[in-house]
Amino acid sequence: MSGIKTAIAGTLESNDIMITVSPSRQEGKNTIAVESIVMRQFGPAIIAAIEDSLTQFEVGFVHIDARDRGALECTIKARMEAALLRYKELPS
Amino acid sequence: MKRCRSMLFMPGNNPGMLASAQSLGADCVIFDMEDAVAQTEKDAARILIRHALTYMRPQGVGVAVRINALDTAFWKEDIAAVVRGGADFVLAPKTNGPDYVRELMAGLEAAEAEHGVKDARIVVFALVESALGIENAFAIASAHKRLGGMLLGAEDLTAELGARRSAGGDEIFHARSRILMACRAAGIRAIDTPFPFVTDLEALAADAAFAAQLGFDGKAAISPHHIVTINAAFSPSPEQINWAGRVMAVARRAAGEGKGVASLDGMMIDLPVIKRAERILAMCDGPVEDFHAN
Amino acid sequence: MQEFREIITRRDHAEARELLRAAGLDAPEGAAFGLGCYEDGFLGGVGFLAGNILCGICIHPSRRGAGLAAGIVSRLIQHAAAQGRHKLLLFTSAAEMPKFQEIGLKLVAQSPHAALLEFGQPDCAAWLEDMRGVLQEQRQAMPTAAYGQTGAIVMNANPFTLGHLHLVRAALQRCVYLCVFVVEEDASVFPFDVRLALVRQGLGQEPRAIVLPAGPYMVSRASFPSYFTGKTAHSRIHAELDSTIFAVRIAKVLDIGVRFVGQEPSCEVTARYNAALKEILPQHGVVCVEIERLSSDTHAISASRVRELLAGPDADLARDDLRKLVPETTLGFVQSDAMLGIRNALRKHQNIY
Repeated sequence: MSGIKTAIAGTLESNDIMITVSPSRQEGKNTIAVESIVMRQFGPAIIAAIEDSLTQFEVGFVHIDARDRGALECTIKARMEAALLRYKELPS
Repeated sequence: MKRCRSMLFMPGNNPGMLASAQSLGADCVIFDMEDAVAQTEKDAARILIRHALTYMRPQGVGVAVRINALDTAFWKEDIAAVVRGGADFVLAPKTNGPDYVRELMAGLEAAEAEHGVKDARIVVFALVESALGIENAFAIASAHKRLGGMLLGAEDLTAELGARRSAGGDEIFHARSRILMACRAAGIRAIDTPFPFVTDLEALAADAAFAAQLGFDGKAAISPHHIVTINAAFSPSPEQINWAGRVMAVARRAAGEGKGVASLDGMMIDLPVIKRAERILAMCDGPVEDFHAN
Repeated sequence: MQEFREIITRRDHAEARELLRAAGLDAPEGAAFGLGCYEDGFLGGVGFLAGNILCGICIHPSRRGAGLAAGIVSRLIQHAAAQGRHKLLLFTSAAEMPKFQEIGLKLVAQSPHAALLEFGQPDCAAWLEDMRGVLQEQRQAMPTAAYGQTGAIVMNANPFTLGHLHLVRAALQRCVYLCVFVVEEDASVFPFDVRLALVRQGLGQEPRAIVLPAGPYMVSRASFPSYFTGKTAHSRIHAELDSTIFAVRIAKVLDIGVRFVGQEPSCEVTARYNAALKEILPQHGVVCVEIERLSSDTHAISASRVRELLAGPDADLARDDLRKLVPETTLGFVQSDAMLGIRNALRKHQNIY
């Protein structure tokens, strides 16, 4: 069992994205790791959507791990919102 | 009036399904926050549905959201998400009496006030799926002016009754009749229960035809494969459409001439007849305006 | 209509077992959380979560390619997360590997017949980075900084014996530093923290031996399941995978040139493991050296002999037999009150691993 504060939202089903939020590994900044079946075409757009959500929901500096299975932008934002709100709810 | 011949339930936490909503041929889709979503995923489904309503609302299709029941901790947040995202209908599960409807309406109005929504556009449909709900059918149907229809939920009902669900549906005949009667008496729409035997399309056709024969306006579905059959069963015949078009034309003409009473081929056209004509036109394919413009 | 339901009743389990059996798979042993994907009542697929291991994931032949595996794995990940487990491992056949890679699991390593995949953090790369940091720190603190080969040995040490000590000393003659990895899986009668502490104490006089937890990638339930079940059926396949992970991931990052194993006269699973290591490691440029066992009165010293004595009457604890098998550090512990629970467990299950 890992004691690191972690929240997950979304699934690995097609058209979805699984977002994992944990504390940032680099002080003073957010870190983002994306794996996607459409990385070449949509990688930058996925990262931009994730960054948008991070700006919208203040949760401190975090690491985002995203496993994308072809999610639309609004799905990425919905999963980010769910994951960040769950993360906020966790005890530190 | 949005067509509701077929109302298709879709799991609310599945983005792929939500994205396909407009291409499945259903008159109306129901984004489900209740039974199709695990307790631990209620938050994620609610957020996903709100984003789907806001950014990828199905076009040319009615959108309903089934919220969680009023005895859960979820329903107020569910309603708020629907109000923020916008939808045509809210489907209220486990409706068992008029107080239930009024409590729901109060919650809806509070959410609308909080989020500055003034058009009161969302129509509520009550899902009646208990013995108590059936006994209270008319009281429910007439409980509030924003209640636009009632849906029979036969799975929970037959489970409660101890009845065995059959393709023929003898065990739900009484419930269907009660719902229909209450809806007609209150002047709202009546939607039949989904057909539970997913792969038996022949029995589905008979079941849908029977519901249409009883007078239902439409039928819910739990499988996209049921849509074509259901739409066909609830589509009015060309003769009915033509009759309804003539009724409406006559009624409009009378209104234009300032007459209080219209007649068609020497027979008086009263309000119930006009309502029936409207319902028929609401159920046919293609824009309703076609029939108004003659 | 598609529903995901927990496998609970005897009937649920029977159905799941039948699906697995038809695919040539065994149902997971012990307590596992099982999930079935039912489509209009038909069981289209199953999957299980045992601790942090995903297993028994199987889709009915008629339902393959419909995304059921992704649905099941996603829900098992969510279930694990709700229990505070964010790092999961999946052991599967080489043929099935691409399917799981495609749904988003990351490959740790693949042998000809099997593969290990993972989800969550810290992943193998992150774990190895951490290990490398710890290793470098420890090396810098050492008196000798001579250049030379780093060796490794993996031991369960249940508990640490003179045999283990002999093994380490013999290994140290052939390398400059020796990483002594203690199996972290808590499946033995001596808990992991006790085993680790006894190894550390036992090697207190060996400054060139660096004692480390073996983590999830060396002789773990995920990398080497049959080590813990004792079943020989798939032990060769498991041993190959564990050896491959060591060669292509661990040895590479930690710069380990030689792996030492103790000769195994009795346990068949361990003997097969040694054989696999000897075959596979050299293919990846890692030397494997087998060291002869230390004997006492013609019996090979083994931890299982120690456990036998501990399961016996209290008087045995004072006898010289035990003194001939374990170092002072271990002896001190097994004679202490802290041992009462472990000895009771040993007496209850004579064959406990």
